[in-house]
Amino acid sequence: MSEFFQSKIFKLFVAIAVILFALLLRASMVQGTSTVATNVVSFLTVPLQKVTASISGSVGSFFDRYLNADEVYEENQQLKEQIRVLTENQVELEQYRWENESLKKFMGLKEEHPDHEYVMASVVSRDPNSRFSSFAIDKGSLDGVEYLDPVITDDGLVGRVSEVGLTFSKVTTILDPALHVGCYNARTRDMGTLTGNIEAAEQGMCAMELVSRDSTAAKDDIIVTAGSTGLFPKDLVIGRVVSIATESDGKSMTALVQPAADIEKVTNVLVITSFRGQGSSMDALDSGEDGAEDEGNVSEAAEASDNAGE
Amino acid sequence: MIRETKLRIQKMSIYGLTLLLLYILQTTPGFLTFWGIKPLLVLPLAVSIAMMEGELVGGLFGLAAGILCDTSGITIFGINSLLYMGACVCIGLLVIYYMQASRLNSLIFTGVVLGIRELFEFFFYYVMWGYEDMRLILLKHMLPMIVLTLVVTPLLYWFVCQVHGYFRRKGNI
Repeated sequence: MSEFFQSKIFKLFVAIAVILFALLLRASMVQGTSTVATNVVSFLTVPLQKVTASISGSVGSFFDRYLNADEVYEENQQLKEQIRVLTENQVELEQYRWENESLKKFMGLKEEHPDHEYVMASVVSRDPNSRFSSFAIDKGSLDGVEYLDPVITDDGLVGRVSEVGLTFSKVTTILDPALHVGCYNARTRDMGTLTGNIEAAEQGMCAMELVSRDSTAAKDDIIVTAGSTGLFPKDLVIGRVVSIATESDGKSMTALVQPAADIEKVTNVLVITSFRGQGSSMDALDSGEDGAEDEGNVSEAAEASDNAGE
Repeated sequence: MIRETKLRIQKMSIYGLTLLLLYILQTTPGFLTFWGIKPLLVLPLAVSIAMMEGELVGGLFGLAAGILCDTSGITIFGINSLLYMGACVCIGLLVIYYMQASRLNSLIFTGVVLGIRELFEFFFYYVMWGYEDMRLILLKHMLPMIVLTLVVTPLLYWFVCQVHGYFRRKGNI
């Protein structure tokens, strides 16, 4: 064994380890930008992943018809019941608007938000070590995608770009506890912070925290982005309230939110590369203690200032 | 000598292409996904190669597997590369000097490396930040992923044994 430590092989591995450690340090300091090695590997693997992802998607959807027949039937029954309730009770205007928006396709979104610029992307990989349904898409900085760009589907908000390579990007979803989004209830106008929660993420849901104790928020209320931080456009649909409960400290309430987008199965997304008010609070973000990942403090601060203004 | 080099290149190409193929498969959305959990395929392959081919080839394939995992994973670039490379060098040396290359040992090595990796991620990405219900990450994601990976490990070990045996018979490579 001792001859190994005096061999050239040992010195080679020590040199590689030093280089890797330097790359690791660089990656930890420069958030959101991929390393050269990642770009080179992705350049080779992303085209192959595109092919396998599309094959997997086709095969999966073929078998899904048969494997999930019960689930589809149940979902169908639920939708029928929902339609009946909607017809009979004439639910609130916001609910109708949300239903409409969920039916709009990408072009419809463009009409709705003329200030938005989109890049269409496909999900090409989901790594076994990735948590909270994060994934990689086939568009990167060469396509105009930038760090922290919001990612959506025609149904609603999915997450944001957490790392950009030349030809690929990694997306952190709203199920991740590291992501915080300023949001409000479309019916009651109550502000809050949407964030991932490990327990809720198990059921594909996230939590709207810091909701006022006096709020009249209820099940099926629609949650949309507040747009107060400049990181997400205003009024993007996030999801629907499933339940609401008072926090253990009794000072505020937390609502469980079912995302409008099917985050765990999404295959195509839109990256919003530009929107009105983008980056308006980036200075605040940059000066934040915890860096870009802790948007929550910023959103709360921005919301507080918004509320003060009102 | 030329024939030997040719055979060596062929063997490394087979390992390299298999590694790439397994990486593509492990990151393909929906492929081999059970209750939202996917097995890690590149690590058992690198461990098996290290057991069969020694510390140099094993270390280089561990490095390659780590770079691939760093490319698609959520952790900071370099963590998987450093860990897998170091682990595969150690495994190569352990098999040369102290242990046997066997299916059971391939399971032990893969389990230990994966366990260290998952505990590292669990501590630095969850425990340090004090998230609520973090045990769910350990119990419902990390442990099932380790178990799933261990299920496919014997198959990959068998494959590497076959490739290694074939080239050994052909030219003692």
